[in-house]
Amino acid sequence: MKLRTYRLILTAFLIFLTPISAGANKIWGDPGRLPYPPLTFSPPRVEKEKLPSGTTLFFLENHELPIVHISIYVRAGSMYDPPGKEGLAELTAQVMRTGGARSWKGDEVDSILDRMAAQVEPVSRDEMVIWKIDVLAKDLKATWRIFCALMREPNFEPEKIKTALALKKGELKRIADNPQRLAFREFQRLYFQGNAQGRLPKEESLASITREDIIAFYRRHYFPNNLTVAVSGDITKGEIVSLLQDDLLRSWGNQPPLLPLPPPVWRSEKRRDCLLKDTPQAVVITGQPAPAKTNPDYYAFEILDFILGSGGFRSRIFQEVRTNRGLSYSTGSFYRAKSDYGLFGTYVITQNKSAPLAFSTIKHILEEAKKGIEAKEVVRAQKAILNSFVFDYGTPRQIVEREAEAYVLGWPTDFWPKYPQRITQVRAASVTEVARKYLIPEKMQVFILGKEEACASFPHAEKVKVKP
Amino acid sequence: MPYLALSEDIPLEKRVQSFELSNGLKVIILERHLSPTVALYLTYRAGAVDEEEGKTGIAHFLEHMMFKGTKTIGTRNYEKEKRLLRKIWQTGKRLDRELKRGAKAEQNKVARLQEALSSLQRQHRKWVRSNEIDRLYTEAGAINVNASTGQDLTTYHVNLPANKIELWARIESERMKDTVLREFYEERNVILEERRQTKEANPQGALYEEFMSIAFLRHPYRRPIIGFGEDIAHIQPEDLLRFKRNFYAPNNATIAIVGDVDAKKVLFMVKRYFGSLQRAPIVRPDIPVEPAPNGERRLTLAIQASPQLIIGFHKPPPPHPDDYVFDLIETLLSGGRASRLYKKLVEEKALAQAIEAQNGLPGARYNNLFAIFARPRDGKTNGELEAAIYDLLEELKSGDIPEAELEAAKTKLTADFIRLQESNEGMAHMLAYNQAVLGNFRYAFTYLDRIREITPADIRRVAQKYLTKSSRLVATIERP
Repeated sequence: MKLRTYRLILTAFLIFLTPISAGANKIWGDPGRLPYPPLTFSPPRVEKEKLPSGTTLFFLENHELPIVHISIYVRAGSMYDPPGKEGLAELTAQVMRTGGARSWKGDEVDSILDRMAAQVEPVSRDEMVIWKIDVLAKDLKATWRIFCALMREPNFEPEKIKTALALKKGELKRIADNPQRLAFREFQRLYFQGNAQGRLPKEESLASITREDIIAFYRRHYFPNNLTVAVSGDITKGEIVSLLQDDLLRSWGNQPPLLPLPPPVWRSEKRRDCLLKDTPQAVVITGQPAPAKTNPDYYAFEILDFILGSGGFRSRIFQEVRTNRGLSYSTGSFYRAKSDYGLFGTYVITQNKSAPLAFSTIKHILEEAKKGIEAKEVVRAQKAILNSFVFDYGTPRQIVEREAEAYVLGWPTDFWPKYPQRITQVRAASVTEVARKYLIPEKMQVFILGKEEACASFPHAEKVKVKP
Repeated sequence: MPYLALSEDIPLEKRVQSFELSNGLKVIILERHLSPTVALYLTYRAGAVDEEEGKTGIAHFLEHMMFKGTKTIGTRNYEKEKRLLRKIWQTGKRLDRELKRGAKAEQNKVARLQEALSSLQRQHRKWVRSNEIDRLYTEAGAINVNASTGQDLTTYHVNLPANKIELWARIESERMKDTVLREFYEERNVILEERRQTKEANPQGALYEEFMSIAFLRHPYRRPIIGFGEDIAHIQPEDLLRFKRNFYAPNNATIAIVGDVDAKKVLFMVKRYFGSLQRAPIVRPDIPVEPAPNGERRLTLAIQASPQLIIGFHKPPPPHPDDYVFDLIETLLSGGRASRLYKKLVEEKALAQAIEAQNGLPGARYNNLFAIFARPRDGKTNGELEAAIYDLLEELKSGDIPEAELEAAKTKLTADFIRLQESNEGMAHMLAYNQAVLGNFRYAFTYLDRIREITPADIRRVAQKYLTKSSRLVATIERP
């Protein structure tokens, strides 16, 4: 029955819409020169407000769908793990969620939230934990009541601490099953050795975490001044402000502000580390210091990274290592810029026997960049970056979260407003210049995971061992 | 006003417009003026299931090659290229033939042919603008330029700033007609690396492949989408061209456009670019019917990896009424922290590290599977976990699901549906998928009504009928 209706509708349309049938083989013009109408778009303004308690609110109203999104950023990420207790930050957030609150048992919280299909979950990162609430507008009040209890009066049920610890331990053990995850994790650990970013949870550190540690971490990190809230969707400003002030923040005392963590100190010596693993493919990752987000070189380096290995199929590493040589399915570069430091790296996953060739090809590409980047490549990167900028405004949620995150991470307030202009101003000469300034072979750390054959092809590579 | 509300009063289904061009191309358009962007999906009803025996991996290989350009995109001089391409293919084929002899292959001959092939490839590169399709899209500001191959379908999708739709029409209409298979042998190696990465170096991928091989004994759903390594290594350009001629035609394709467009204008553009493409007779291979399992089938993969298991049961695909019930069972079992598998096995009994139920694998054009993926906790065994899973499945058969629990699962599916509508991409994918697989994009609009009708008795009946010991399919990883 339904299908019949469908066909009738189609037929009705066909009467008006017989396609213009042209010759069988139309030849169209150059697709690179198609004329496009201008794109007019004025993104909606995000409202920002500092509440009396010290919490900062970013807000954007939108009633298209009956949904509300709330993200709460808490400076309580893994970088704040006390030495020897790595994993504490993540565990604290997990057990705040699962361990019951106020008069609710943890299991009751799960049932109540599930009944409303409300999502309340912490996402743990290095600088922060982001509490994501995603709820149908009609259930916001009921969800919020529970969320406030989780934030203000978590019970940290011992049973749930045990579960969370066991699950984390199990997860660590299983990392070894996945060569890529294992490689990137070990790279992170070695690259940032001696710094907060390089201290990762281990079985040992998890074993030393007690309920008291969790409570202490919670008290030190969860307070109004340390929260930033991003809200979008089917809700008014008045409603959210009242939910925050009257429920979440009411008579919640502040703690002394958390001091920003120092930027990492680099291992000065050039190192190559190899982790032996019996796997059909080797993973080779490189890393070296790059400009911080606040450094004026940031914009030129962003373009350099795009050209080298993160700008799609045409980027130099992808083009040469994958398309031209067929050496790898996954290869490219990455650039992580934080407010006080930056890291540039490359990666390739390839057969063990091809690892040295893939690596030398990448090294050669980095060296070539220093000889001069052509203006036309820079223009292409600029076009791509600027034309796709509009996708950062895809949904109200994206818009509001982007601003909130920049704020929490301490980026300059004009970072996003000035971003397009600053990308536009980059000239080829400055891209070449940053290539010369930062792509220094002596500062490149190399990490290899693979069979003996792959490791042996990297002279001076030191064998490392991993304990979960 | 940049954020026009989606005129809440008009239900979504009334705002979706659909058309069929005289060449059979289906076009579905949803105007949504949320941001100046548009999601574009082009789906062919052709996937791994449509490959011939012994030639697995063609659908996926072709998907890779569709990014290599056309006669006008990606070339500096197509006539020069054409001659070289012919030579490359001849040489590549001779090399393959020699290599196929294995130990008997003449090493000199292999080396000579390899050298000749590389030399031709180098010459050819001079006439190519490599990766031009990706370059055009990327420069236009596209994001998520990608494609995916499934058992049932192959989909090409891209999100573009709304003013640049014509670029999409220009590229997609031309590559539907005449893709040029440049860089063929290089790409074959890339795909072999992809297979190594996703199957051979990845225990989960390896187990999934083995599981499917026992889940289906005759039906092509038993084969991996990426293809068997042996098959991939011998695919030739002609194989891809044959598949493409057979299936890449307007009457086998659906377009879904969701975003900041004017439906009339965009339809006019689609007709201008795609209207002249010719219909093709779509000839599918004979696909054998999978007999119902007559006894449990098991397989163990002995590799150095942590234990895990997959359990599956045969069932009918959508729009069969029982398929809706399975969606609900999936949610009851693993849709959230309070769901049965999670609460009982991860938390209470501490048997599972992770567990998930999935309805509808590996495709939906033919009878498919309801599956459970599980990993035992450190120190627990697959056996203990498996037994506990069966206990929970038995509960579905013996008692009625409490009304509140059933309501919660229905609410979750409703909320999921609303969340899906948040992105243009989610909508475009759903519309194109339902049209291409089920022949009816409206499936989604009645979906929730059907879900709401499901009763505890339905759950019990479906569990009793399908989740039986005699039709169980189990694959595990155990350390040797």
